[in-house]
This record gives sequence, C-alpha cells and structure tokens, in this order.
Amino acid sequence: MSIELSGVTIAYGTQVAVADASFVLPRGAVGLLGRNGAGKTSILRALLGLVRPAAGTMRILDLPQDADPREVRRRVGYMPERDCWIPGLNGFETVALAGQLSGLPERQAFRRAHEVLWLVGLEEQRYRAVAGYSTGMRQKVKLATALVHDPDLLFLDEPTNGLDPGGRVEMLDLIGRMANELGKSVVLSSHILQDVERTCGHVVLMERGKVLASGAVGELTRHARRAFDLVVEGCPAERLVPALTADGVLAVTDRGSGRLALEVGESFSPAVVFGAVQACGGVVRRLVEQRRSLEDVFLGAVRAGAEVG
Amino acid sequence: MAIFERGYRDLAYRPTAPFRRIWPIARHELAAIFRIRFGTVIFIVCLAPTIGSLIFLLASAGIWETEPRMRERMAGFDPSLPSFFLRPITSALGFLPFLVLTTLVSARAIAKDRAAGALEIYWTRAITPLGYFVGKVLGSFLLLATVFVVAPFVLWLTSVLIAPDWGQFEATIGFLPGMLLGLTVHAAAMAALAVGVSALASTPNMASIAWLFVVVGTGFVGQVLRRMLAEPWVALISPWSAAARVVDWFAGWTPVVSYPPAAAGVALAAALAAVLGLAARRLRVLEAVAT
Repeated sequence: MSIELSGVTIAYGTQVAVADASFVLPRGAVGLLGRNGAGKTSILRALLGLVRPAAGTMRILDLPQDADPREVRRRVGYMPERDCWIPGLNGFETVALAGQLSGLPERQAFRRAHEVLWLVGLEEQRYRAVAGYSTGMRQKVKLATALVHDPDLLFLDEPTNGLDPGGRVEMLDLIGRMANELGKSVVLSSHILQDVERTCGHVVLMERGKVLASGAVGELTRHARRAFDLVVEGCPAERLVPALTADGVLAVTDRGSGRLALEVGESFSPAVVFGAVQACGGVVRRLVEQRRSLEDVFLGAVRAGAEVG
Repeated sequence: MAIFERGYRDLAYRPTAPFRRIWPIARHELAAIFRIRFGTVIFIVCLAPTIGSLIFLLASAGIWETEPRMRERMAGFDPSLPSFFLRPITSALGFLPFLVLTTLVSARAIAKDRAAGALEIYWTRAITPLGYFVGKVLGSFLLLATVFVVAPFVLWLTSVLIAPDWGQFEATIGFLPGMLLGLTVHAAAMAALAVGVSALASTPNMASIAWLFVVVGTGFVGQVLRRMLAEPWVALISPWSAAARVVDWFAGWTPVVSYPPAAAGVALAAALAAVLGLAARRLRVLEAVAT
C-alpha cells in the first residue's frame, strides 16, 4: 500500500472539490482518472500537505498521519500540471535547485541533476534557459525535477498535456519505465483514458469530486458488461430483438441493415444468439466480442453515478 | 570517462537541515542581476558613487594633512567624518543606485516567480513559504549589502591604508562599527521591504511600479507634507528617509536636515510590519495552488 484515503473531503471556501473519497492505492503505477475538475489535483495537493482536508484521514507511504508536510514532500516527487518554470534558470540549475530544496546536499544535487536530465532526454539542452524550451522539453524538466531526489512515490499531474503524439508516446514510455523497470510507485493523474490504460495497472475513477470506482484495470474491465457486434441475414430485427432479450441478453441496439449491438452478462454463451437467429429463420454472418476498454468502464460508471445522483 | 551515470540509480543521502535549503534560493537571488542583459554593467554603475569617492580619496591623499583649512572648506569630503562614507549611500546621490538595484531585482523577486508559476515548484518541495521568503530576502540583502555595506567598508579600508599614519584609523574607528551596523540594518530593511512588495504583486512590472511608489512616491508626498505642515518628521512616511536617518543615528552623525531617530525607527518598523503582514497573507500555500 502506498496511499490510503478514508472519507476525505476537500473544500476551497464553500466550493467542495472532493467529497468523501475513500480508496487504497497499491505500489506500482496507479491512474487517477477523471474529467477536468473531477478533483484529481486536489487529492494530490492534499496528499502533499498543501491543502488541508475538511474531513477524513490520509496515509501516504509509511509515514504517520500527522507527519511534517516537508517530510512528505521530501519522499514524494511532484510534477505539476500547469506550465511552470523558475525564471532565469537553465535546465540543469532548475533540477539541481529542486534537488537541494528537497534536502539533497549540493554536490549530490548537481551530480543527480545531470543524471536525471540524461534519463529524460535533455542532456544536450540542459544549459539552455528553461523559459526558451518547447512544451515537451518543459514537461521533461518537470519530470526531472520530480525525480531528482529519488522519491519513493511520484505524482504526475497530466504529464502529457500539450505534447504532440510523438512526445506523448515518449513521455508515457518514460513513465512506464519508472514503474516497471525502476520500481517507482507512480500516481498518474489524467483525463486521457488511453494514457492511464497504457501505463497503469490500477485505477481510481473520479467525477465531480466523487470516487466512482477503484481497482485493478483488468478487474474493472472484466466486471463490466460484455458486448458483441452481431450481423444477421434473413431475420428482421423486430423479431430477433424480443427473442434475444427473452434469452437473457441484457440490451440490444438495432444499428440497421441487420447489424445489432448486444450487451450481455458474465454467463452469456454465444449459442444463445445462434439459437435465436436459427429459430427466426436467419443466418449469423458475424458475431464478434468487443473488447471492453477503460473508457467503457468510465462512461458506464459516470452513467451509473448520474442515475444514482 | 563519463563523470555521471546515464541510468537511474537509487540515492542514499542524509537530508540537509531545513534551514540549509534556504541558501540555494538566496544564492540564485543574489545572482539574478547578472542573468539580466547588461546586469553586470548596471551593478557596476550602482557602485559609481562609491567609486567616485574612492577616486577622490586617492586623488586627495595627503592634502588633508598638509592643508588644514581644507577640513573647514570641504567638511563633507573629509574622510575622517562619517559623512564621507555615508554620502554615497544615504544621500540623493546614493538613492539612484539603490532605486535601480531594488526596482530591477529585489522588487521583482517573488512577482516573477508567481508570474512563471514557480511558486508551485517551491511549495511542492521540502521547504515552507517562510523559508522561501527568507531565502529571497537573504539573496536580495546580500546584493544590496555588496553595494551599500561592503563598498563603504572598502572605501574606509582604503582611506586607512593610504593614510601616512594611524591618524585616519584613530579618527574613524570610533564610528565605523556603528556605521557598518546601520548600513547593514538599512540594507536588510530595504531588502525585506522590496521583496515584501514583490510578494504582493501578480506580475514583475506591477511589483516594480508598486515599489517605485513605496520609495519615490512616499518620498515626494513626505516632502510636500513637510513643507505644508512645517513638521520635519512628516517626511518619515518615506521608508527610504526613515532608513537613512537610522543609518545616520547608528553612525553618530547628524545631517543638516534631521529627524528624530526614534521616530525614524518607528516609521521604518511600521512600514516593515505592514508590508510583511500583507506578504504573509499573499504567500499562503493555498493562494498559490488553489486555482
């Protein structure tokens, strides 16, 4: 376990950013997934000790609940979402300063700054002013500043913001390496489902300050409804749909020209479809199971949340 | 042979004490002017009044002893008096370098960080907003002290070294510690005020304008009120005038236009309390991160 939240509520004045959030995050790469304004950044800031929760308890790493926020921040590396840099400094100076502010002695901070800048691919540009960097390079500097003091846990807030497709893949590969090869615990906060799905094994889904679901990605997608794409010939949809529904198919959507989208439960067997089509006098031309993505899970959770709300 | 590793490696280190994390901020702040284009030139220009005094001192070496009447005619340029060392600092001549240095560097210190979003980088490190502020003030103080404390000391040292005997040393050693202490207080107070003002503004240019008002605007208003009300102490609403009087008092020197030193001290302390109080509110972590 690297993080544990129990009934955490975060408010800025009268505006509640996170309401009663509870989850446990294991070690490894974890995604905090939600649309803009879902409360992801607020949770990261509360964990860093920058914002005091109005209610609830939080535990991070092996630190006690009342740990000095400076000690928490010394053990955690944070890559902020917004574009930011220290005016006047070049890449090397920025990363070295970040290391010293995190408690690294000067010599080690200097040496380490060179190393992490190599790691993120800024070795040639490290003596250029950060203010003159491209967006992708600034994202890499922010990642380097998060890594410089060898933190046990990394918080990456929208790390692929503003990156072109090539830069995005590069950044995600780097994050993947952090978690898989270097053994870092990474919390990736993002509104881009594909980024989280690509890098994280565990995910927390958030919407409007509430935690909708939390668990391993495989587990969440497995428990979601299965879906099939069906193409039939010689059997009108108005006859087939009631037959399939009667045989246990949860939802059928007629897409015209003999194409139907089926949503089925865990125990569903394709034989049901073949039986129903045969009884109708038609032929199955195509029956393919659709892979459930995190996006389906997220949208399903949002819908379910809206219905409950 | 590479001097550093290319791969990632785990680090084993003993964290530095929290107060030691202030120094890197101070060092970068001290170096800030030299990162500006022509910054070094500006810095040297700010030393011009002291350099001028130094040249005068070297050129007039020996005159004071051979021409006793010189002391009466040019009392303000007599190196055995505090006024000789304080003139390049606390007079109108010294005000210009002070204004340039503080407006270009100290008064922009925090505002430029805020504008670039750097506060979030600082706040998410193992340092508190107070530590950050102290680091900025310390860096700014060291820069001002180089011009307004170290330079007069070098001037004094030169005057002692070029003197034909111990006369200059004996004449000046009495007021030197007080003068240096006063100049140090002056530089520290002005650095804290300028950095405090920079914490209040959202952009560096706004901070510079606000600072100009604090030093030039209040000085102008103070002089107008002084003439209107015929009360000399009213001029002390200018922190610069108040700080200059504090320095004079420490050095044991009473200028022609003088204000009560206690009133000057109170005025300076009140200005500091007001600006630092407001800065503390603006530097709360929530102000920087809760968007």
